[in-house]
Amino acid sequence: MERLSIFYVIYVIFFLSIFLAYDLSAFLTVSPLPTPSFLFYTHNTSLFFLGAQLIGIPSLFVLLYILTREGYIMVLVVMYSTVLILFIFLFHNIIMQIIFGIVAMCLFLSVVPQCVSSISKVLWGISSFYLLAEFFTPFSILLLVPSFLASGIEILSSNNNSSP
Amino acid sequence: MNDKIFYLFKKAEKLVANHKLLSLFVISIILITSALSIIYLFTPILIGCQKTSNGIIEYFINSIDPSFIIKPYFHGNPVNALISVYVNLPNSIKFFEEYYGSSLVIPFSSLANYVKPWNRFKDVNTSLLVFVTYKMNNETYSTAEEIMYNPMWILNDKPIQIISKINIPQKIININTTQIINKVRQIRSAIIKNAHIYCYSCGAGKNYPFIVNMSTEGVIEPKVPPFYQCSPIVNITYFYNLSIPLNWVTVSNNVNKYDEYMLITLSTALSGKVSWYAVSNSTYAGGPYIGVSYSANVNWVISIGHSEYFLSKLDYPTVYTYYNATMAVVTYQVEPKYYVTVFEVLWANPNEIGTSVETSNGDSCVIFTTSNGKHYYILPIGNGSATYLFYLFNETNQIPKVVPYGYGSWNNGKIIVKGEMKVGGMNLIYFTGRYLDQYVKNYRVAEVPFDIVDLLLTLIFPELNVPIDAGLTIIVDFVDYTLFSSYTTVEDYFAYTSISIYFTSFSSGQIYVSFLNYSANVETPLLGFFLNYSTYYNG
Repeated sequence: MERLSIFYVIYVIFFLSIFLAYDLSAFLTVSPLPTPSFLFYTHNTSLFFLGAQLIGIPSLFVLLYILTREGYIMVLVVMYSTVLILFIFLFHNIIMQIIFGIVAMCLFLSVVPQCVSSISKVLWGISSFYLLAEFFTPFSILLLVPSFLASGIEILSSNNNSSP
Repeated sequence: MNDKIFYLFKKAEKLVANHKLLSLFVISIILITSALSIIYLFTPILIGCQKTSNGIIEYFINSIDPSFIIKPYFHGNPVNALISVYVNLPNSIKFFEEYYGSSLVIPFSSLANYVKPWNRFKDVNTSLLVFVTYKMNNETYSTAEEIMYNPMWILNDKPIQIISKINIPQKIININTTQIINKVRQIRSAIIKNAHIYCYSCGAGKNYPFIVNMSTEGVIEPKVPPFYQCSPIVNITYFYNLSIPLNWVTVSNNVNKYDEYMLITLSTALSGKVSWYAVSNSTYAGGPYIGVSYSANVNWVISIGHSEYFLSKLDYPTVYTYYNATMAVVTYQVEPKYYVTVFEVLWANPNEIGTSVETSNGDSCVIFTTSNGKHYYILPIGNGSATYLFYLFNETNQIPKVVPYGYGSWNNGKIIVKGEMKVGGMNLIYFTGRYLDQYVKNYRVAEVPFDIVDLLLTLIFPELNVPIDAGLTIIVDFVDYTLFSSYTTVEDYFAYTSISIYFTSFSSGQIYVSFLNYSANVETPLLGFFLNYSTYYNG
C-alpha cells in the first residue's frame, strides 16, 4: 500500500498545478500586476484547463494500474479513453456525455478498493461523481476536494504504517 | 465511527511525531489544492474578446472594480512602456492620460465626464485610442490599439472590466525616402497644375463640387520619464459629415453611347450590428487592424436609379449610395522620424444615408479649417467620394484589382447572360453582390501598402506637416481596410447589393460587369462595379 502513496501524491500535485495555473492566470490577468504571456487568460484557458483534466485523469489511473497491477483499472482507462474520443469526435450529445460521466465515475471508484481507511473510501466515492457533474455545473469542481482529503489520509496512513 | 475517527487522529498524531516535516508538507499541499479548487469558483468570468493584429481585448464581469486595464508587452514579456490614452467622442478625440509603467488602470468613474456626449446615442459602441511606446537602448517602438466599449457601461457603472494586452512589435523599416519624395513631387505638381487655389462659392459652382470639410488640431503630451527627450506629439485631422460610399457603379462612356437601355438602378441594404475597424499604418508597427473604433445598429436600405438620358450627359458617371460619418486621422509621433497613423470612424449617422451621382470631370472642394481660418481648395478629381477614391488610387499607382463579374446582352428581346448576371424579366438583367466572397478569394491581390498611401500626405497641403496631411487618404484607407474588411467577432449584419439594367423589348446592347477589388482582405459585400461596353474593365 505504501507504493500507492506515489499515486496519491501525483494525483494531488497534478490538480494543484492545474488549479494554480488557472487561478493565477485569471486573477493576474484582471489585476494590474504584470502577467506573463503564457499566463494571460484567454477564452482558450478554460478549454486547456478542462482538456488537461480529461487527458490527465486517465494518465493518473495508468499510473495506478502500474502500481497495483489490477486489470480492471486498465479496462476502465481504455473504456474512458474510447468513450471520450467518441464523445468529442463523433457523438457530441447528452447521452454520450452521461455515459462518459458514468465510465469516469467507475474509474474514480477503482481507487476505493485500494484505500486503507474507510473514510477515504467514502470520500473517493463522493469525488467519483465529479466528471459526471462537470458538464452540468461549474460547482462540480468542489467534488474533487474529498479526493484530495482522502489522498492526504492515505498518504499519512501509509507513512504511519511504515514508521517503526 | 467515533472510534475510527479517534483512531485516525491518533495515527495522524503519531505520524506527525514521526514524520513531522513530511506530514506538514502533505497537509499543506492538500489544503492549498482544496483552497485553489474553491477559489476557482470565484475566478472572473470572461464575457467577450476581440483579437487585433497586435493584441487582444478581453471583457470580464467584475463588480468590484469596473475599469480598463492596459498592459503592454514586448517580445511576449510585460514591460514598462509609455501609454497614451485618448477618448473617442462623436465629433472629436480628447486626450485623457499619459502613463509610464507595466499596466495602466483606468476606473470607469474617471471617464464618466469624458463620455457624456455619448449619452444621447443608444446602442452604440465607441473606443479608447491607445498608443504604447517602448524604449529599448536607443530605439523606440510604438503601436496603437482601439479598445471598444459601450459608453453606457461607464455612465451606468456596469460591473465590467476591460483588459487590453498590447504587443509592441520590434520592427524597423528602411524607407527609400528619395523615391517617395520624387513621387510626391510628381503628384503634387500634377494637382497644382490643374487645381484652383480658392473656391469662392463652393456648392454653387458650375460643376457642383463635392464638399469635404476638414479641421485639424494638435496635442503635445506632457513629458514623462524616461521619455524626456521625445515628448509625444499628436495631430488629429477630422473629416466631418463625410459621405462614405456603400456601393457604387460606374458607367463607361461607351455604355452610354452604344447601349440602348432605359434605366440603371442600384439598391443597397445593410442591416444589423456593423462595426467600423480602425486601421493603422503600422504594418511596421503592429497593424493594420487595431480594433473597432465604432459600432452601431443600422438599418440602411436605399435605392437609386437613373436613366440613360441623364447618365449619358455625364463623363464616366458613377452612381452610388453612401452614409455620413465623422472620421479622424490621428498621428502619434514620438521621434522626428517615426510616427504611427491611425484611421478611424468616430461616428456614423445611423439615420442618414443617401444616393448620389457624380461625374469624373467634376471638382472636389476641400474646406480646411485651421486656427488661421478656413482654406478652400478645389481639386479636379470628380465631384463625389467614389471618384475621389478612384483618383487617389490612380495617382498612387494603386489601381485596384479588377475582377470579371458578369456579362449580359439583349437584342430585340433575346437575352444572353454569363457569370453573375441574371435575367430578371423580359426587359431586365441584374446582378447582386452576394457571391463576392468566392470571387475575392480567387483573385486575391497584394495589400495596398500604407507607405504608398502616405505619399499623399503632402499632396494637397504642402505647407502642412506630413502627418496632418494623412487625412486626405482617409477615404482610400477606410474603404480599403475598414469598409471592405470583415471581422465577424463583433458584427452581425445582413448586406445586399443589387444592380439592375432595364431596357425596352426592341432595343439592343451589351454590358461587361467588373468588380473592383480594393484589398486582399475584401470579404464584406460593400463594393464597387464598373460597367463597360466592349470588354471587362482593365483599370
